[in-house]
Amino acid sequence: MSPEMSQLMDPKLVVLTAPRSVAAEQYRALRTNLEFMSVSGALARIMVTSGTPGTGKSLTASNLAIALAQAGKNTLLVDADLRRPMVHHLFGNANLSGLTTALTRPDEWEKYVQRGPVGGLSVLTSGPIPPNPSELLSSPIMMDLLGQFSRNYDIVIIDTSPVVSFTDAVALSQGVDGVILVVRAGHTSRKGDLKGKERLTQVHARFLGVVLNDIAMQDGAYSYY
Amino acid sequence: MIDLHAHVLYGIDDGPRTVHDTLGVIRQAASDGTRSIVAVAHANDGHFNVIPEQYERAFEIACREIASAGLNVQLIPAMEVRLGPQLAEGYRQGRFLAMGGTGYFCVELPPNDFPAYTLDTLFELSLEGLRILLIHPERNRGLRRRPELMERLLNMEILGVASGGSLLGQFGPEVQAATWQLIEGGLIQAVATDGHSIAKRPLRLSAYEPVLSRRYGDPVAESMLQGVPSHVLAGRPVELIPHPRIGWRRFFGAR
Ligand SMILES: Nc1ncnc2c1ncn2[C@@H]1O[C@H](COP(=O)(O)OP(=O)(O)O)[C@@H](O)[C@H]1O
Ligand SMILES: [Fe+2]
Ligand SMILES: [Mg+2]
Repeated sequence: MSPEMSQLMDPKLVVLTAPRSVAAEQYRALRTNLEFMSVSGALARIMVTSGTPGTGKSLTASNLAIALAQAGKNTLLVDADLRRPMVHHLFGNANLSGLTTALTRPDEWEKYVQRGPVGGLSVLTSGPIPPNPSELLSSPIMMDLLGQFSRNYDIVIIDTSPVVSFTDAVALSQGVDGVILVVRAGHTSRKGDLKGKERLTQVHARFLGVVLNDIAMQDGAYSYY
Repeated sequence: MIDLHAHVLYGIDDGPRTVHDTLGVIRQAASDGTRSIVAVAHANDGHFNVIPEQYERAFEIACREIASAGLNVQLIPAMEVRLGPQLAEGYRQGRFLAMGGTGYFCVELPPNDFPAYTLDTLFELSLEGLRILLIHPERNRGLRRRPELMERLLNMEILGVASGGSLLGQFGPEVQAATWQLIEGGLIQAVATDGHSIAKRPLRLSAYEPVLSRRYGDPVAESMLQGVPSHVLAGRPVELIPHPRIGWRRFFGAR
């Protein structure tokens, strides 16, 4: 990682900025768990969501994507949270084009993918925010794009908006192979978490597990299944 | 200071008529401490349909006159494009000019309504890689009647620039009240003169500083007259960050 790059990047991308931290180790453990689970059925597109806002979805998705790329997986991180896009902030990327541009010009979607901070990591930021995000995200074009993503990459990590406030992630869950739910200890309401899980179960999303993002532990993510 | 929006080119819209008018308003701005002016001209509004060749000629002439008069003011080219359903297409065809090399694009809503296609058109423009600067949104009646539209514009990360005259009540109490609301909601994060002439719509940015300071404090006034405008000129995005004074909502200002 070059010095300029680390300046632009959010220090909370611990897998890169503090690779020996306990938190970084836990993101790598999450990666190992996913690799393990994919033995029993392909996991090429994984969506990261939550019940309520602010649980740490974007940080989880981004750190996980870095860890996967470091393990040699050709990885694409997609910011499909058109309510509060964060990936470009975390990585210090421009966001004048991105997923929404790809959705309106699907034939040239590859043009809008940017290089990530480690080899093997590509990033598709949100792009300009449309007036009606759920319409774009639940469109047949989106489902088709998700298919094209996984033809070009080993694994696609998709950051989304929270399930309880918006229908976006529920729609997206229909085009992915698995869903990770991020909850934040001492922060999120238990009710919101359960409601989120329920919404996803109703549409038969393949539920991979919960990431407990616990800042009380000072060191970030901890996962259990 | 930076004036994000003023009509200073002569003979192409309802701004200055002659070169003397142009030099007059530039002198006024300079003596007020303004160093950079985004020199807009109306396009696509029915009365004034400036085309790029015409605009560029007027811009070059004005720059030359300013230089030979020894005035230390920089002009940045831009059109103030009236909303219409075909803006993105017009931009692709080269009929409209964005703001210099900043990637910002000035859109003016019609005064009376907020057409159904507005948000879609603004989105189409942003898909061209442009950031939208909504010019004096407080003067749009549709937005005043339907406050929920502000939230939708905000979600699309659109930035509003108020005309200083609106702050002072020059367009009536309704527009003035709307200005405060849009500032407090976070849509309007900068103030420009929308100057046209020395007397009626002057280029004196400093006139708006006291009223902004009184209502929101010095840092906010500074941000609206200097911080945000300099971000825009640098082609950087302007983001909302929380502000303790306006507190319950969001605040303008740059990261
Ligand atoms: N484990 C953590 N330690 C410290 N700060 C965290 C942690 N997880 C999240 N945050 C902070 O909380 C906020 C929300 O995190 P983010 O990943 O953007 O959540 P979401 O995507 O679910 O909205 C951000 O400011 C982020 O930096
Ligand atoms: Fe104007
Ligand atoms: Mg997020």
